Amino acid sequence: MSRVSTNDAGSTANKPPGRRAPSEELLGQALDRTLLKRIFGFVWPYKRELIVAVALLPVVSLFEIAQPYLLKKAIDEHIAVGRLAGLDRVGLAYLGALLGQYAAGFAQIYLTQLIGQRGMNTLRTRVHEHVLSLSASFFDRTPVGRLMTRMTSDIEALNEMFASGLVSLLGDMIRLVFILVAIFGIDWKLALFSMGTAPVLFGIAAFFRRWVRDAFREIRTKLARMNAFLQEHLSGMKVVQAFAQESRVDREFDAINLDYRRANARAITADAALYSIVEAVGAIAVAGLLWHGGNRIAGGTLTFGVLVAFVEYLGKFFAPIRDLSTKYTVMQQAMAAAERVFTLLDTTEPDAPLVSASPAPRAACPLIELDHVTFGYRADRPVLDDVSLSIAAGETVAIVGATGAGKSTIIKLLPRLYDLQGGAIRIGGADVRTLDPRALRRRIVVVSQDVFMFSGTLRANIALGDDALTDAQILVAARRVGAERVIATRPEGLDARVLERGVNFSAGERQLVAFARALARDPEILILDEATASVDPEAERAIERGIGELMRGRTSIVIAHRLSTVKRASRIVVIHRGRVAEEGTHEALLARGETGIYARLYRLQMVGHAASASEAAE
Amino acid sequence: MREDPDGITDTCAVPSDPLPSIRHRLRPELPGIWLGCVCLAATNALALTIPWLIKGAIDALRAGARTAGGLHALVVRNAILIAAFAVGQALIRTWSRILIFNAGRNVEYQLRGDLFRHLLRLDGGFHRRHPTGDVMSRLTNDLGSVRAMFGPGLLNLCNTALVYATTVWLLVHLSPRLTLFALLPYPALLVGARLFSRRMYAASRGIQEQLGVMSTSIQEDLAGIAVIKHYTLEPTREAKFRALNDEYLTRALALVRARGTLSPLFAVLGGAGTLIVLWAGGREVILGRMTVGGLVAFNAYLVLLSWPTIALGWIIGVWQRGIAGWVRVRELLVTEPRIADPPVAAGAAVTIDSPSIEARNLSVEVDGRRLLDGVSFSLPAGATLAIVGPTGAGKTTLVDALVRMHEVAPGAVRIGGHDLTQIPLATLRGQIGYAPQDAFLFSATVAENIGFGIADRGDGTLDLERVKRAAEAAGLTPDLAILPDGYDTLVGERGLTLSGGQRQRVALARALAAEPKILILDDSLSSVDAQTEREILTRLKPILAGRTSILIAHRLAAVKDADRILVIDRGRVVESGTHVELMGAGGLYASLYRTELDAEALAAVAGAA
Repeated sequence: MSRVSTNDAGSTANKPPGRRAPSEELLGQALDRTLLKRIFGFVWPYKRELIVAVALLPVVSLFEIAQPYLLKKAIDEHIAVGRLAGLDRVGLAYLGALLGQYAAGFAQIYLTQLIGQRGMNTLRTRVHEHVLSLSASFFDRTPVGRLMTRMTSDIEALNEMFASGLVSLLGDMIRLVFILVAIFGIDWKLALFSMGTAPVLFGIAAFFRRWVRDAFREIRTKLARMNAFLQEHLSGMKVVQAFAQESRVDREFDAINLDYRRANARAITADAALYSIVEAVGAIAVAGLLWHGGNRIAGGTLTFGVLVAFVEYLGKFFAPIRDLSTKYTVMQQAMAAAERVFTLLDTTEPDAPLVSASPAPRAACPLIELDHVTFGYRADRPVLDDVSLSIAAGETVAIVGATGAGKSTIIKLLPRLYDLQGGAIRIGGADVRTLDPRALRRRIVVVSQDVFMFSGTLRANIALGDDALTDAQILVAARRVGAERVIATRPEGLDARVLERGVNFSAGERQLVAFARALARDPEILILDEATASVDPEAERAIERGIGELMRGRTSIVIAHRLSTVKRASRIVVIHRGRVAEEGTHEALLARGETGIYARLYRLQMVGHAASASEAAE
Repeated sequence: MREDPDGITDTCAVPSDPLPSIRHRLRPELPGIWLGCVCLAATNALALTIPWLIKGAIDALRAGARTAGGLHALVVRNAILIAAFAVGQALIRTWSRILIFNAGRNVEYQLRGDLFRHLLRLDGGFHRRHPTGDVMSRLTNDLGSVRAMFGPGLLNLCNTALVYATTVWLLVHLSPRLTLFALLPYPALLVGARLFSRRMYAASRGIQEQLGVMSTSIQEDLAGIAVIKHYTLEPTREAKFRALNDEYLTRALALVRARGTLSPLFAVLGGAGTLIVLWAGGREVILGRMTVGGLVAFNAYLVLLSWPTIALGWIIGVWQRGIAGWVRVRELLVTEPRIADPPVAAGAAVTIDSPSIEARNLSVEVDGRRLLDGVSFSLPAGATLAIVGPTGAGKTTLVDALVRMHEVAPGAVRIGGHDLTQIPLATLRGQIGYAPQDAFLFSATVAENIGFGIADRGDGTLDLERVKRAAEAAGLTPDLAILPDGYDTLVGERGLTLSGGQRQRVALARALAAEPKILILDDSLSSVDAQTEREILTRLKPILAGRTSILIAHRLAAVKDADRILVIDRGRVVESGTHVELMGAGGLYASLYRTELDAEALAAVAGAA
């Protein structure tokens, strides 16, 4: 028999389990023309390498196919007739074919993978850039987990197609054609006879392909379910344990685990059966060949060499047919992954596209202007309703209002994270839609309540992408907002490591880092969402000082939670249910007396203060 | 196993050194594995007979050239035998594969169950120290490697051993001289296989690590997308990702080179055997020391031998990965939970009748940092305790300690008069309804999430009335009316995304549905506005009245009616007393309260406007 017979390691059931299966089971065609074209687009820059790799395929096959032929030559012309002269030459030719196969094989595999890896590298960068360029509302809707899958395991699955898919499929086909040419060239009658089992083989492979494919599809579904369950219950372990639900969760998991186990059992049966049947058919074909060939040798119409060569050729012929179902599965997975990745790439929800070029700035207009702004995250539910506001350069405006009144929405609209449903926002007289969004955002710095820190160093978190900042500048910024304490308490100073999401910094420290970060940017406009979280009084004073320093000499909008901030503001805007209810300075609003809402409620709260104080005094 | 390649070929038993405790998991599979090995032996015996039959046929044909007659019958007989053996071999091989692969899968299934059950027992400290991603990769990738070791790894190991033992013997029988020649390249092959498999192992580990780094970076980009947009960090983050991506490319290509050298090399070395047969064997035949049939059979056996040899490199890799995986799996399995049930005798009698809580000099250390330092308080059954203090003061640590999510010294806490460490965990936690700070919900319906603690009634059905009562008390009724499928709406990662306030209230309802004797609410209403909070607190009053309750609150106004308020700062109790007492003391509480009033004033201004 051929070397096919004991090939246990090459079949699908032996493959280590794939990376996390995608959650959606979008299994389409194994070869979708449009998708292939797009994937091809990513490897097209390496077309030279691709052409060489494809051109090498027939070379590899040729060297491989030559070997049984040389064997035939050696047997018929030398060994069988007892002629030693020239056997060395055939042997050398055989050695040449072997070395040729090795060299060409290495070059072909290396080039194919090189192209694949480079193509995936480009695709990964492209997807990453694309995702970062999408609008904020896209991120509101799309779960992080799904995007993660797209950007990691889906692209990995696509890579599999290059590693063991398309090119090797092409290689297999070339090899099959070459074998056919060789055997028909040597002895067409014997070739016709030995190909008699080929239709049976194709039939079996086709039948099993469906079985194996269904089994593997089921495995993927079950695996995805199992991984999701594990992931979720590991994250929620505290809840499971706090409610003493371990045994129930264990039972649930066992059912899922068993399901996966059963799906695997089906695949093992299908795979083992396919493998063995192909092998048996191969052996039967060899037996038939031997019987038929033997008769002809006896009749003198066939030589030993031809028979031996045919046995070798048949072995080489069966292997790719058996592996077809595995490759088909790989291709199908890759195609499904490609479809999902390209769907993401096709999501056209650009972040802040330019509507028209910026007109010449008008003279003497307010720096920030909200002109009858209407906006909602969903069009049918406006969060801001006809809000107009104008803020001059250098002014500090405090916005107050209840949770959900629309305060934080204003913050998101100024740097144009969202576009309006009605009205306009102008910065320096120019509609924000006509300004380059990056230039616009560079003029505005937003400090939010929930400070996000990137893993890396403290320095990188303050400089935040501005490589031009020197350590001295960073330290000055930190000192001015009172964040030097954060740096000083760490032995590594600015090189102090920041863990994921800044978990090794307290909430107060994160606030101060955010202030330093903002000051280092030195923006024209500052938007500050004051933290409501209670921190210790010492940190509280530091933060208060930091805020004061931050707002100095800048146009500032503050969502205020501190009385000190409100008092410092040149104007207070009261937002209620998406509308501006009142505006003026603290004093002016207070001076309205009983007719002003702000004044009335402020006094009421002050009485509350007094009451608490007097209660305490009792 | 790692150092001794001969061990692989000589035995299919499990090496004793790195795998002591996996044996009991393997034992039930042993009959299947043995039967599989027997099948393998049988299938190999059949496979080895085929070249012998071919040899007989060819030699008969050669002889037949001289003396015809009887020849036809022999060839036909051998051809029929080959076909019959081939079919038999296929059937038996199918069984050997099914038996051994299933044994591997069974081990995987059992171990995964063991591992998950063990993870359910491990304490909160363990789960905090081990990122989900890491534990997940042990549960999936590493277990997969172990499975590959016992399934295909074991199969190929046995197969290789069998094929070697029999084939080499047959080869020697056919021609000892030729065997010597033919086996010449094999030592080189072994060395090459080991060298490359080690390189490939290192390369693939490098790739896995880099993939992890890339995933973490992407995760960060997605989590921090708002900052990225505000600070126009897109170019910076893209550059960072590109660098990681390029590093990945470099590492991937290193693997490609190793793999690209290895696989054609093996194919060629397989062919080299044929070359030697051709060259040396041809001479043997011509010199009359061997028959043509013998040569063909010799070649066929050599080909049979070439695959197990190629597989050897693969087997070494599979066993290396399998053992590495098992070491990582075992690390988890041998980790003993630091928090466990008391000995059965001590815990059996414990019932909590009157749920008073008393802490005496309670300290909690996590990863060497002292998060709670000598906290003492006493709470009579039915009373309400409020815990306030700045972020990071240790409030959550304190309540976590009460449900034994942290290690607690014996005697430091008594619940219902019993030492906390002497109460079985299920008894303790069965009495406590806990709404943790991060309102984690499972991917399940709203009703299932609320009924999470009460579903375990044997049949898994939910007491919907209780669920509804809890939802009502948690102020969820108006939200449920808006949700597309009401109580049957799927929420969590794979369902509808609820707002922070909604999530918190579902978690609150989950704690209430358990109808516990002790209720712990860790900042359960921080994401709802003050007005809603007041409403819910009003509704909670009768529920709290019958229970011992501990409330952690952001807004001090929400807790000022508590029987007792504990002010915690940096792990210590700095003040305690009633609201009035604390306001009078003019300490941290009073200062925090005033700061809050400012904020409340501003919010109230707008709220009522």
